[in-house]
Amino acid sequence: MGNTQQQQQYQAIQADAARVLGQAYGLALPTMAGQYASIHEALGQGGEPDYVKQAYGGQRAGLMEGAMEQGRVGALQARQGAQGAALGGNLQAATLSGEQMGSRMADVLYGSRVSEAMGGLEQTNKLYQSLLGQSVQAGSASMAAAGTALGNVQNMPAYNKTYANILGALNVGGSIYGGLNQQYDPYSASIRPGGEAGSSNWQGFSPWADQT
Amino acid sequence: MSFTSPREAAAADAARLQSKYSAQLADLSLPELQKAIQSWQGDLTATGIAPSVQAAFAPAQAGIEKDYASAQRSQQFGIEQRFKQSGLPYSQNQLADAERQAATALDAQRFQANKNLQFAEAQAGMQQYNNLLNLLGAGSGAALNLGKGFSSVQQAAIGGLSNTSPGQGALGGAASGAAIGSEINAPWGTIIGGVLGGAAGYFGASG
Repeated sequence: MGNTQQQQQYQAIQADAARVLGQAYGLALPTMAGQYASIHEALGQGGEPDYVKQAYGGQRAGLMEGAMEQGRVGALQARQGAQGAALGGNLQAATLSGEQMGSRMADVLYGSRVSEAMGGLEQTNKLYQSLLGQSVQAGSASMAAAGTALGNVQNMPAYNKTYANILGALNVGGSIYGGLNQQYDPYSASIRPGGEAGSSNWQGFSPWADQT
Repeated sequence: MSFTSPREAAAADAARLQSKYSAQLADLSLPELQKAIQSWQGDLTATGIAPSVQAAFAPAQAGIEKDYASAQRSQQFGIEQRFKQSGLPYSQNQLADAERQAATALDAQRFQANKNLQFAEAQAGMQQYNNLLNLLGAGSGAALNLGKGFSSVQQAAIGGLSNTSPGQGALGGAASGAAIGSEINAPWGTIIGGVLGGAAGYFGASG
């Protein structure tokens, strides 16, 4: 069983481990509950948070502005062309007619819309995966804790304490009886083979005999 | 004086603590897994596009209509500006004709964009169907694994239980006690041994 110092060390380590595991579970359980709440909140918004919607909206505004700018340069090109001004190659290439501008604008916005839809769906699936992963993790941890609890129970004695106490008391009683019986044999040598009456210092004394 | 050993006391405390955390974790995991499975089942439709995909594409559909309307207005503005800034003489009919032609072309583009979007939605719906099937398989697999794991824990716990009922323990203890008592001093030793042995056997079996 080890010496006292060793026992104290075991107890200290056990107490420290109990404290740390309590802290760890105390940290993990509310965090997991909070994570579940966040996942459900995000799923309630259709997978795409508001700030992402705003970001896509901002992107579309920029794309539209770019297409319109090209259209304005197109109008400038038309005016300069009419005046016979020479146009640089870069300006030529960067310009759009009114028809092209509308078409280009609708085209770039379509790409952004589809990208947003696919991104929202992808996020929904990631949230689904997170739900699954989180549940598997919590379930596995639950099973591991149950296994540890079982292991701890197996560290306990296999017999009942009350039974052990009664047996202990019987053993003590038996030892006292046996000890006294060794000192004083109430039976004669003729009925207890091997016994030798009168060999004890307690000769003549019996705790059960009438002493009067 | 305590009859509980340090190991027994520490093991009992630890077992209670671990059981408590195990229950808390299971209370967190299983209802959430159930909710997730219900959500996936609700999203899984064999005959149509999953509601989650429809929900993701509905804003795109509405947005595209809005974008084309906006593009058409900008297009008209651009054509007018181009006519005005060209410095060349033009009639309103020429302008209207140019705008009509551009609007027709844009409408054809809008029609094609809608078709493309529907195609993208259908493709995403099929992918989502497969994805949901995978999730459901993984979810039910996780539930089965948990059930299997806790079955093993239960089996091990049953293996640790006493195999003797209190009644059997009392009878067996009484018989043993009576036999020992007879050796010590019959008939009183038999009676006393039987009573003590029966009590010990009863408590031992019930533990």
